[in-house]
Amino acid sequence: MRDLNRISIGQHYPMDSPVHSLDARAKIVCALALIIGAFVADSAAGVLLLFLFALLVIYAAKLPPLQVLSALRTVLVLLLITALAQFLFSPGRVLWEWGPFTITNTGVQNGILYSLRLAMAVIVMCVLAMTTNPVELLVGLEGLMSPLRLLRFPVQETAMILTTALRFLPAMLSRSGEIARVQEARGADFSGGRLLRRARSLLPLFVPLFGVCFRDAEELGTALASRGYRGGKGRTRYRAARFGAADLLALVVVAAAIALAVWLPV
Amino acid sequence: MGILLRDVALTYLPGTPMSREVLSCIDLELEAGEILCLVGRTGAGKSTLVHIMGGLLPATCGEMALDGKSLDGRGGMRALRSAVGVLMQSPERQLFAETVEKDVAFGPRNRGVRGEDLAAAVRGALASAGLDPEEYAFRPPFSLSGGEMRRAALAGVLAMRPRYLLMDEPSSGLDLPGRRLLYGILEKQREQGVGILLVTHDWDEVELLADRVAVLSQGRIPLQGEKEAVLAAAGELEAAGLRPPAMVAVLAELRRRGLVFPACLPSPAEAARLIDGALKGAGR
Repeated sequence: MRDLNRISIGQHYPMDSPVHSLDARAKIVCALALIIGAFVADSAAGVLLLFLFALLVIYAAKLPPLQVLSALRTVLVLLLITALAQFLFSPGRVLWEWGPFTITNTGVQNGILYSLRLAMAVIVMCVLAMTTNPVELLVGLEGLMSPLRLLRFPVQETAMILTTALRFLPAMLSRSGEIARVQEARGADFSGGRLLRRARSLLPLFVPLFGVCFRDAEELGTALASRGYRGGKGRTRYRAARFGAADLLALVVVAAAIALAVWLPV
Repeated sequence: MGILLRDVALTYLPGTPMSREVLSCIDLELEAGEILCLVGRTGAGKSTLVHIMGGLLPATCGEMALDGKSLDGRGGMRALRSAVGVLMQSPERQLFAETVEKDVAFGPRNRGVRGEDLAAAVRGALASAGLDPEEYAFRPPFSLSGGEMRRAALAGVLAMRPRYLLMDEPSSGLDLPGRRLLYGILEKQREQGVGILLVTHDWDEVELLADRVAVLSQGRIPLQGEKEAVLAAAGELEAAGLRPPAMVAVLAELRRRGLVFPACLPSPAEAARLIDGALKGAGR
């Protein structure tokens, strides 16, 4: 049953903050740059600096820190495997040995480093999703992808499909919740069992949900056609995104943080 | 005997910027063998209240009881679900099986009913919902008409032999014969002692079926009681964003003009009889 008292990981969290008010394109570029920067920086101090910078962004965005950090639970196993692999299989000065297993100083350093990089990537993407309305996010992506038009890539159509899908997502979630509750009222159990049994138990949820989705998609297509939609050529936006001084400042600050992190010695 | 709600409230995502109080201070009782109509504007929280009363959504706070027993935790929710049948808006969307028979059998089968008992429950439910088992049992549910699909979904709920039925606008989109058929089913269920909560926007439905009426407005129940008393409370209905039924408005207008009429009458025929009598009395 849906828990109404918790927000989902990565769910848009509307607040009045300087991070929320940035242009989506600036936020996407900053997020990607921070992630790439964390992987480019060689030193533990550099990666730690960027990690602390990401935590500072959470504070500036007025996001609940525990909710953001809880996103790490989704990659906990991956984090542990990464750290363990680095601990056990990196060459270097041996710190501890037990049978075929050895832990080296480089292994410890790399384990912490790689885990921090991965954790940072998750946190940065989570902050991006929580501070940016999904539709703004797609508009930003469309803006960044616009040079692909020169290669005849259907940028607007792709963005339209993704935006429409995203706009329908809350409605679909609500419908799936409603159908699930109705079937639960009829004794359906979606929670347990082995894989095959669980897949079968989901039939009473997915068959009606797909039916509703296809019906809605068909109706929406007809409605769009009847209102004159003919693809992306020459289309403008009701709300045009503006790249302002604050966005430029954000890019400069992020670039400075990355430069410092890369410059710090190993 | 009944489902009792005391000071029940529901808030979505409390403590976040998206926090929204959907229901608050809900005191309501659905008794066995009655039809309680729940009316209110779109977005008032009617469907959410149905989900809570059906044990499908936990309330944020408040107390609930079923047939005098307090409902707490998961056990309470399970007890509520086993006693209550819920028919959502557009119930035809819950159909999924290859045949009507299999779909109707889904609920009882989940409760462990098997063999001849299961077959009898399915046949009985189909007949109660106005679908001839011989004709409909082996048809794919998606080949039925809209009204038939809705009755098949209702049969799926009735097959579980609920003591209480919660129905969220079951007549919306049905034509007149379909509605009459549905009303007949509801009246039969009431005669058998089933307590029915009927969410509706249709005053004719309220006048025809309701024993009691509750008005939901902005997540609260400002008005509830016997049908006649609620229908006559024109001021409170308007405050809740509802337009009183036409017959009540006509009777109010007649009273405003100095004629002696009650605030509400049980049927249009009774209203016509009284108006006719008044006209003859006035020598017209």
